Formats: sequence, C-alpha cells, structure tokens
Amino acid sequence: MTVEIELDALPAFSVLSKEHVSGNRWRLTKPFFYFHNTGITIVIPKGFECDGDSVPRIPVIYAMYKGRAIQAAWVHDYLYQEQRGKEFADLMFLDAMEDQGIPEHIRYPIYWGPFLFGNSRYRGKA
Amino acid sequence: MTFLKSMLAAVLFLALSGCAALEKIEESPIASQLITNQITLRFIAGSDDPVERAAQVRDVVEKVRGQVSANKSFTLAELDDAVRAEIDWQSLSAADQELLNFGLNKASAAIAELIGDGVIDPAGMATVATLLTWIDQAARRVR
Repeated sequence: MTVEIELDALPAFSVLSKEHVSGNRWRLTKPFFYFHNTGITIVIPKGFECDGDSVPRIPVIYAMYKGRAIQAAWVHDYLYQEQRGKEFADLMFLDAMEDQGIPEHIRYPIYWGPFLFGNSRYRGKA
Repeated sequence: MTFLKSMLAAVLFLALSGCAALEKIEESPIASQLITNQITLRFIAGSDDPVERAAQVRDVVEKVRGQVSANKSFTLAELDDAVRAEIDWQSLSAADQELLNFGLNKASAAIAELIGDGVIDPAGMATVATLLTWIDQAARRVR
C-alpha cells in the first residue's frame, strides 16, 4: 500500500506544553516547533518564557482579540528575543496566526499592533 | 536496543528522504536542506521528549556517518532491505509507520532514478554524508 503524505498538510505546530510562572508569564516545559510552509522551522527551546498575546486592556478590543493567537504569540516573542529582524518576526507572526486558523478580520488587527507600535519592544529585547 | 534500531532506521530513512530531493540539490540546495531539516524536526517534535530524541538522533547520525566514511560499498536494494529490517514497526505509532513507509518508497524510487540499481558511487556517498550533516544540524537546534 502506498500512502502519499504532503508535508504542508501536516500540523504547523507541535504540542504547546507550558507551565504558569506568574501573572501573565508562562514557561515552555518542552521545545515548541512551528513548521512554516516555506520549509523554515522555528524551534523555541524548553524554558523559554512568554507573556502571551499582548492586547491593550480596552474592554471591547481585549474581549475580541485576547487569547486568539496563543501559539503565534510564542513564535513572535521568541523571534523578537532572538533579534532575527522585526519585519521577519512580524510576518511570521501573521503567517502563524493564519496557520492557527484565525480569520483575516481578526489576525490583521492583531498583526498591526506590533507592526506599527512594536519597534521599542523589539529594540528592548536586544 | 530495540529503540536504537528504530532510531537507526529513522535516521537512515531521513537520509533517504533527503535523497528524494536529490534531483533538486544542485539547482536548489537550500530547498533540499529545508526539506531535510523539516522532516528531521517533525520526527523529533513527535516525541514525548524532543530533547532526548534529538540527542539520540545525533548519536545515531554519528554512527551512520562512521559507516559511510568507512567506504563500505552497498547497493540501493541492500540499503533499502537493511533499513526496512531494522525498523521496529510495532513500537511506532500508525502515523510514524505511514511516514516511514512513504519516505522509504519515495526515497527508493528517487535514488533508483538517479543512480540506478548498482553500487552507490563515491558521489552518492558524499551526498548521503551531506544529508547526515543537515540532519545533525537540525537536531542540534532542539534544546
């Protein structure tokens, strides 16, 4: 029996195993993998800490967007810390949200946040 | 020991899977490396303990590299048989079994088309060595 497998059809993310640290902070208990459709793979090491998807605490906005982009937020935070280029990090964030199945009308507003206002945060991670 | 055997088979499979992209290596080595990289990391990511599996992959890559550099000659059919015999199918999940079968079939067909059924020549051995290096580099990223 021959089985055809398309790499693109496999899950884009590995299982996200994390433990709570404090406040909004979480720590990976296993490495976390993001398989981008270009073949690039982001490997986030065990022990990396992230504060999740940062959404302004404005009631309606917070309710609409908070908690939507969990996996993508880990990828984005890690790429900011690794200083691989802000544009690259932001675009990977956008693609990761698409791979999470987040619809356009949600993922673009989330993307615009760091795209427009993330410069100081990116520099602060250096 | 059983696990080591399946690891050896998996690494050989990964090397062969990389060979499936041989046709493109000269024209697009980066694409071939990305494919090998992703297959390796998917295999590692599927484990309950990716860090441990990555270390095991690197150990086995070293062993296979030693065999390749020893210049022992073998045919594609012999390599294919040896890999399949080393696989402890019962210890693998259904998804891993599918992935292995798929990779072996693809790799065998691709290599046969490239080098025929004879003994793998030095150039082919060098390519296998390159692929092993890529697998090792991918596994090193997991910590």
